This record gives sequence, C-alpha cells and structure tokens, in this order.
Amino acid sequence: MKVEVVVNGVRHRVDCHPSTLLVHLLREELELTGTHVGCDTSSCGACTVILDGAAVKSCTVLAGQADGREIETVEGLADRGKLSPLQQAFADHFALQCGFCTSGFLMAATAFLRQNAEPAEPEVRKALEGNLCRCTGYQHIVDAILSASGAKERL
Amino acid sequence: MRPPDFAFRSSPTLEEALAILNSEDGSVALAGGQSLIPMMRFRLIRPSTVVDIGRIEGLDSVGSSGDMLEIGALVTASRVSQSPMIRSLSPLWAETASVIADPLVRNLGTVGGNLAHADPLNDLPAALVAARGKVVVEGVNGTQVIEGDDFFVGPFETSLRRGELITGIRLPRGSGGAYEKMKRAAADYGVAGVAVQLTMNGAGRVTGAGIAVTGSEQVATRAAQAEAILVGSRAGASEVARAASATAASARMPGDDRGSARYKRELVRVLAGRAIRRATERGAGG
Repeated sequence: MKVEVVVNGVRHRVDCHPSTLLVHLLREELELTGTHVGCDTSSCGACTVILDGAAVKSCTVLAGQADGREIETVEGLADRGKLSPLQQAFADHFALQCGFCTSGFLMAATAFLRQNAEPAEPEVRKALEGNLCRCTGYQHIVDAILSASGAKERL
Repeated sequence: MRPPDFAFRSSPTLEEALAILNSEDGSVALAGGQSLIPMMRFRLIRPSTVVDIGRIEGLDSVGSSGDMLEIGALVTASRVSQSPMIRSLSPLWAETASVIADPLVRNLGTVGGNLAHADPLNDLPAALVAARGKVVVEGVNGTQVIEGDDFFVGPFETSLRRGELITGIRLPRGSGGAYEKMKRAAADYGVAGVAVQLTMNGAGRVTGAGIAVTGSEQVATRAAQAEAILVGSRAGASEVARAASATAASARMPGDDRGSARYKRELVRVLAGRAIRRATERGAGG
C-alpha cells in the first residue's frame, strides 16, 4: 500500500506492506534510526514520536494510520547541528547513561513542554509515565526537563 | 514484531465501514489501535481485514444536550481528561480517563475502543456503569441506544454484533463523581478501581448512587447493595464504611500475579471508601 507522510518537514511517499508499523516505516523505509524499538510490546516508550502534535508510541501505530499525517522524530530536534534547548539540557544534566531510551524521552518531553511551558515537577513526572529508563536515570531526566522549561523553581 | 498479514481499508464514512464489517468475515474496526494492535502483534487475534475508522467525520465531538453529556466514539482519553466541558459536567469521566494506561497511549486510545474492547481491567466500563451512561451503536440495521449494564456481557465480550460500531456515549451530567485506581507501576495495568457517581439534593441527601468495580472477574461489576445503602442517607462515615464493605463483597476479584483475591477485595473496600467520600464532597459542592 502507498503511504504519504511528512517527517520532520520532509514529504515522503512510501510503498509498504499493511502490517508495517510506524516505527518500521521510520527506521527501515526512511532510515531514520534515532527512533528505537525497545520492548516491542507497547510498554517502554523508546519508540515515542510526535504524530500531528501528540506524543505516541510508534510501535503501536500502523503505517496506514499515519498516512497523510505529520511526524516529528528525534532527528528533527536539532537545528543545523545545534541541539534543541531540551537536548542540551539532557547533556548538561547527564540525563542519559546508555542513551537507548533518550530519543523517546526527548520526544515525549518536547510535546509536553509545548503544551505546558512551566510545569511543576509532579506534572513532569506524570508526563513521563509512558517512558521507561532501565538505567534508572529518572531524576536527572526530570531535572533536565525542568531546567529547559520556563519553571523557575522545583516544587 | 509485526502483526500477521491483513488487508488495510481506510474508511472515510460510517456507512462504508459498517458495510465492510458486515460483509467481510474476519474484519475488525481500528480506532486508536492501542488495544487492537498489541493483540494482533501477540497473535491473540488474526483479522483478515482491518477497517480504519479513525478518520470518519463526526465521531470525535464532545457536546451536551439537555441533562446529557455526549462524547463521540473517537474522542481520545487525553481529550476526555482535558475537555473543560467533560471536567465540569462529568468529573468522574475526566478523572477516569486521566488514569488510563500512560499519556502516550491516552493520546491515541479512544472512548469507543476502550469500551468495545471490554477488558475487565479497562477503566471506562466502570465509569460508564457508575454514571448510568448509555452506548450509542450504529449498525447496518439502524441505531440502538444500549444501557451500560446491558452492554458488557463478559470479559472481552459486549452486546455488539457483526456490522455494528459504537458511535458515541451519553452520560447523565453530574458533579458528584470520583474514580479511585491502584496501580503497581506507572504504566502497568491497574490492580483494581472503583467508580462512583452520586446525585445529592440541597439537604445533602443522596438521591441516586452508581458504583462499579474495575478488575473483577466480570467487566464493570455494579455494586447494587452498596448503592442501596447510600441512597436516602447523608453519606456519613458509617454509611460510607458499610457501602465500601458492600462494594468489596459484590465484586469477585480474581487472584493473580497482581495480588491474591483476598488482597484485592480489601483493596476494593479501601478504594470504594475513598471514591465515595470524594464523590460526596463534589456532589455537595454543586
């Protein structure tokens, strides 16, 4: 089947099998491998992308559902090599160890901060409930997101 | 892990979707896909045709008509939890939707899909039964409005027949609602939940009560005895305690890796007490 998607502002037409999941479309057809397959069971959020403005698990979206929609992946965050403020904050706060979950956290947090520019710490933690970090680095991730947000103080 | 092969049909209209679902053996409707796609990937179901109903216009509206709140089948859990109208007219539904799965799943998972899937651990069935809501179903033979109590037949089984789709729900509006849920971990299934919807008169007496349990052996078990204890009372401490115990007694909780039956019964009692108290506060406040 033919699927047309706009990924990080670039339009792509892909001929793929109906059973293709969005994460496969991104990684295998478009070779955007920054979006990771973690648990492969809709649990971990390593595959999080932004679909028409909302953070979703790309392992639980069929390619056909994404047809005609706009997708943002981690490859779209940096601007000509300059990290986004959130990416820079992750680096500054050591908010990653192995880094496997990081692109998912970045996309979930990017979508969250667009809706809630000055979140309190509990709101940040709630927003991350769909993303797992097996290096247990949540504290630094929360610190990074708060520092990249407009929030002046932590609760 | 990809799902097994299937044909994908994106349906622009309800009529076309109903026709395909009615005529093609092995066809299933895909809304947000947050239950269906994992089930396909785990090979729990192998549909031959997946009919994407997610783009059908008119099924994603939120509105009110008289005393009823109307929510379209394709409204996502995120939207239910954030909609000012739903938060004001049915805090029970807004609160229940806000604790479904995790934020990423809530951004795609829909009201219709959550109800049609009829997982005993899904949260919206209990919210529907407690609120005495109705499910609006469209089929090749026309429209039906089904009471929540009659909609759920058993685990993963509803009264929906071949060629029928949920198009929306109707909820009596009411501020006196609350949902309490216990989860072991942030993104895990729940262990148990209790939905409560109370109506109260100006004198602070309960004039109507709906209580339903998530996570029992059936889908959304109504706690009729507990409801009867509260109706006519002022929901004081002793009635709340008796109603909470009656809620626990009415639900057959399965023992499994999330807890023994005995543990879960006690959990339901505690959750019911909390939910009734919060529903009472909200109901008394307007």
